[in-house]
Amino acid sequence: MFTELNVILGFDHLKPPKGQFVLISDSLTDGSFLIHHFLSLYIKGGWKVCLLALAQSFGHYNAVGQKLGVPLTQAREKGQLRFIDGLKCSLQMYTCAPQEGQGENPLRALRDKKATLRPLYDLVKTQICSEEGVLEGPTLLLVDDLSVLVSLGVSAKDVSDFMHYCRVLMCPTQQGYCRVLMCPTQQSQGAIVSLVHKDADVEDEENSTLFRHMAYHGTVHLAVEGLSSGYSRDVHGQSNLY
Amino acid sequence: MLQQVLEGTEASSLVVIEDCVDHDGRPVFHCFCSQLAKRCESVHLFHLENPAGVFLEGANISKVQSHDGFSDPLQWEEQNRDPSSDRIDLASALDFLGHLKRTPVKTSPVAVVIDSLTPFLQNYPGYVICRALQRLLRARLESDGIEVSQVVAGFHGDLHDDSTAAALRHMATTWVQLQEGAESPTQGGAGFHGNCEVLHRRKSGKVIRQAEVYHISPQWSLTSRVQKAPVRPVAHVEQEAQVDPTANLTFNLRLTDTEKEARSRVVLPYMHHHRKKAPNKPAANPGGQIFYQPDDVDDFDEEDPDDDLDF
Repeated sequence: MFTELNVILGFDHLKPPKGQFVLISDSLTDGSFLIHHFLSLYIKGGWKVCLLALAQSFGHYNAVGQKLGVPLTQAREKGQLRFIDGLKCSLQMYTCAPQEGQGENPLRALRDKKATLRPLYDLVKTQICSEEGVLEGPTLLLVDDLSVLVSLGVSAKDVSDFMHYCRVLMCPTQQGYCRVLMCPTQQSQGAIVSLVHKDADVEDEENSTLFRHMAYHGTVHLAVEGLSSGYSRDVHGQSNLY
Repeated sequence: MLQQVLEGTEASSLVVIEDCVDHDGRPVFHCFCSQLAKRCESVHLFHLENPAGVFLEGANISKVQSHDGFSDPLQWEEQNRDPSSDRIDLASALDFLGHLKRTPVKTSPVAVVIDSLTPFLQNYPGYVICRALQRLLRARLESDGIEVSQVVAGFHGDLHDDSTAAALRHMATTWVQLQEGAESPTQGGAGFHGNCEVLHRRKSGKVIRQAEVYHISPQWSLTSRVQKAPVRPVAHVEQEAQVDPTANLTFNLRLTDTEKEARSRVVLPYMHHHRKKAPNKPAANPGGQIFYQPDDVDDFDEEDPDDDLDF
């Protein structure tokens, strides 16, 4: 299935494309299998990958990676994979007393309503950029679940601002818009893959605002949905490509 | 109409292009950038959602002054990469005119292109944007040293509430709402196409509303024409004669005049005058009896005894 998906997207599995902002949305099903797919695709393609994990731990990604034949522990030791444990940061933010080093927590916006996600952006930037503030070779920024931030109380505007800066950093020149006309544009060095939940049965205004913001940013949108006819044993769902 | 506004044959001071998630407005925007660069002495591009290069392909770049709100709108970066270009800071007060005055080139009139009002609307209340746009449109050569001939602004309709859209729609002289279109007006052409609804106010006060189809060629030239009304199947004039459900019944539903008269003479058993005839007759059953005596205003209707019930 993933081979077909790569063909449809025009993604070469040996040389993943640069300058793409891939947005994955899922409705009434789990779209995180695509996160694992893109993680292994870009690791195999020899890219540096920065995984901002807000929904799952490293152990989870490592276990899935082993099944897919991508040893993440090795990649992490080599420095190919940079892992930002957002799960731990958010937990610390809620459990620790205010004076215990919360000033350094990248997710301090969870408790301080006036704070933005700038510390998180600074952290991402130090993980993937050289001291001059430019990318070292092709790099993928993978955010496993942006909806988590909204669920934890960050406004859609703040998340959108954060992703705007990430986009400026990773793919300042977008491919999707100009590719239709086959015009040569300056190549970006990075790419972004992120997931937003878009459950059809949940009326969450903030989350759907976030989704629309991300849809404007994105170059490729993969929508994962359950089958309208119901659950089936062999086919678990459908995905649409926009 | 879209084409006329774009080419300048139809004058319009504020053009707002509304797009949505399903239909990207950037190609139309691109056309405006390249057309204005041809038509006007100088074009000021405020780009907040995309790098300037996206809109300037094929345009006369020497005439375009770009104001960068894309690379660092909130001043998060410590080292600003390019100090030469004018930057937009979304944390400070909004002043389009101030940005225009800061640029060294002083040729009037100028055109202003704002790639999207959405980032502004996220950071300022709607009325501030309207006021800043109004200030821009009213700038005069004598007092401000600059004159604006046309402002073109992008707007993401599905990210804002209705009141914001209504306020902007009230100000705009041309409102273009882009929608996904099914068919391309030119057969098999590359590029972009879609439908749009144009609301245009002429200076004379005439308001024109049109549904149009547009197509953008790979050389960024836009053509538009009025959308043909969808072809409807010819309605069947001859309707089937209504079947009378009471036609072939085995019993009679209607009454003749004599039957009606006979019915009106029947005295109903619970009527009061029935009792007058036998005043001394003892009650048959000790539980009591119910009699009904209609008064003057009573609208007792035999046809519909439940008339007074409110179902």
